[in-house]
Amino acid sequence: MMLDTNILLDALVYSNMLALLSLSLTLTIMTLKVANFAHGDLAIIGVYGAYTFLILAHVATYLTLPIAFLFGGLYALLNYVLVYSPMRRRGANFVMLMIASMAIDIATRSMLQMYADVLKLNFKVYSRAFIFNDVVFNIAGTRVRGLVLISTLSVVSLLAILYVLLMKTKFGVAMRAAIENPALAEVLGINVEKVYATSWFLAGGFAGVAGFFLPFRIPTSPDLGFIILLPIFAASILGGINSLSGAVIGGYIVGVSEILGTYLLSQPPINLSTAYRPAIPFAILILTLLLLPQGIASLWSRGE
Amino acid sequence: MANVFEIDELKVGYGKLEIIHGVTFSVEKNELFVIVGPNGSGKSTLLKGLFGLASIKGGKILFNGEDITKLPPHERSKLGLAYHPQLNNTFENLTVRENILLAGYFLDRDELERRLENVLEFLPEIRGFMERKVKTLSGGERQMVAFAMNMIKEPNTVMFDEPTAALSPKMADLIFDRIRRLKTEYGLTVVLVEQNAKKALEMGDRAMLLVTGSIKYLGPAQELLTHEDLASMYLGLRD
Repeated sequence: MMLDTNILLDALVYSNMLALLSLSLTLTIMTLKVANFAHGDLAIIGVYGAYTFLILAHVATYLTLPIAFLFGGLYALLNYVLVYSPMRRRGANFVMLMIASMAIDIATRSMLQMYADVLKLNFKVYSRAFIFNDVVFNIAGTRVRGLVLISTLSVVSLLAILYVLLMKTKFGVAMRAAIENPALAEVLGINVEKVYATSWFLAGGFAGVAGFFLPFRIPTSPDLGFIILLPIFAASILGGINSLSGAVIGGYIVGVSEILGTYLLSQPPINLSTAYRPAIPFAILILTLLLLPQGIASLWSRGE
Repeated sequence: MANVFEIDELKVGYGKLEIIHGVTFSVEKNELFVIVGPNGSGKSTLLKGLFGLASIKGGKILFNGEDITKLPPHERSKLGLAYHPQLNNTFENLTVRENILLAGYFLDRDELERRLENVLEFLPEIRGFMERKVKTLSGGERQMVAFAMNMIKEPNTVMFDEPTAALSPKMADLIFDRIRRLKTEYGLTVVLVEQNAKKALEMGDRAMLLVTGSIKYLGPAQELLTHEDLASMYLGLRD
C-alpha cells in the first residue's frame, strides 16, 4: 500500500501545528506549574483575531499571521496578569491553578461564541465553521502548497528565535533561572514577574500562530480549542512535560502517528471509521505514562 | 570600631510561628562573627531574617547605620549585604558561567569581566568547570560557585549558612580558608553559621550560642570553645 504524498504533507502540517502548541503549553507548565486547560483556546483566539483582520482589511490571508501571534500572545498575557499571577502570589497550588484554567477555558469559549455572533451579524460572514483558502507557491518550478511552506517556515523560525532568546541573551538566562528557582532568582534581583509574563506572551503567540493554520485544514469554530487539547497534552507529556525540545519532538511523533495511523486504519482490511482518531493520541498518552513517565526527554537528559 | 549590624530585640519566624524570640547583638566591622547552636535552634532562621527571607515579628535591624528591617532581599543586596544559603544556592540547569553572570545581572559587560577576573583569582578552582552545568558538579564545587556568585557583587558583608555541610574534610578546609581570607585579605565582615562548631570557633573573633531561639552565650569565640558547660552541653565539644 502506497502512502499518498498528500497524506504525508498533511501529517507534516498537522505536526507543525502540534509542535508549536505542545512547545507553548510546556513553556507555561514550566513557568507556573499549571496544566492549562485553556491552552487550545489561545490558538482559537489567534485565528479569530487574524480572521477579523482579514474581513476588515481584505489583505492576502498569510499577511494576517502576525495578527494571530499578537492576539494569542496578548490574551495569554491577560490571563497571566489578571488570574495566574495574583493566584501565584497568594500561594495557589497546582490544583487551584488547574481549576482556574478550566474556568478560563469555559469563559473563553463562551466569549468566542458571542464574538462569532457579532461577526456574523455585522459583517454577514461565516463566523463558525469557516475555512481559509490556500495559495500555491511556485518555487524553482516546484509547486508547493502555501500551508506546507509557511507552517514549516513558521516552526523553524520561531524555534530559532526562542533558542537564541533562551540560550544567547542575558534575559534568556534570567528566564531559565527564574523557571528553575524563582526564589533564588528573586534574591539576585531578577524581576520574576516580568520573566513569567514574557513567557506567557510568547506561549500565547506560538499557540496563536498554530491556530492560524487550523482553517486551512478543517472548518474552525469557537469550540475547537477544547477539541484539540488531547493531542497537545499527549505531545507535551510524551516530550517529558518539562522539556522544550522534548515537546517539539513529542508534537511531531503524536502528529505523524495521528494522521498516518488514522489513514492506515481506515484502509482495507480494517476499514475503521476516522472518527476513532482521538484514540491515537490517547493511546500515546497512556503508553507514555505507563512505560516512560518522564517522557522522551529523560532518554537524553539522564546522562548529563 | 563601627558596627555593621545593630540588632535590637529581633523576633523572626514563618507565618504565625515565632522561632527567634527577641535577640540583641551587634557585629563589628571586619569581624568574623560565628553563630553556633544545636539543630533546630534557629540559626538559619536568624540569617534569613537578617536577609529578609523570613518574616520579622518585632525588633529592629540596623545595617551600617541604616534601618533595613522592612527592606526586601534585593534592596539589602544593593547595600552590600550578601547571603550564602545552605541549599538551593545555585541554578542546577545553568552553566557555572551563566550562574555567575546572573549574579552580576545589573553590571555592564566591562565591569562584569573585571569582577569575574577578580573572583577567579580568589577562587581559581572554578576555572576548571566554568562551562559545565551545575548539576554535574560535586557538593564542594557547587559551594564554590555559590561563593563566586556572592563575590561578583563585591559585597562588604557576607553571611554564610553552613557552607561546609556534607562536604569532605579537605573541601571544608578549603572553604574555611577562603572565608578567613575574606576577612583578612579583603577586609570584609563575615557572619558564619556552622554545624562544625570547633572549626568555626577556632577561626572566629566573637561567637553567639543560640539555643531554641534565644542567646545562651555572646562573647569571644575562644572562650565559648573552652567553656566548661556550654561547649559540652550544646556543641558536643570537650567530652
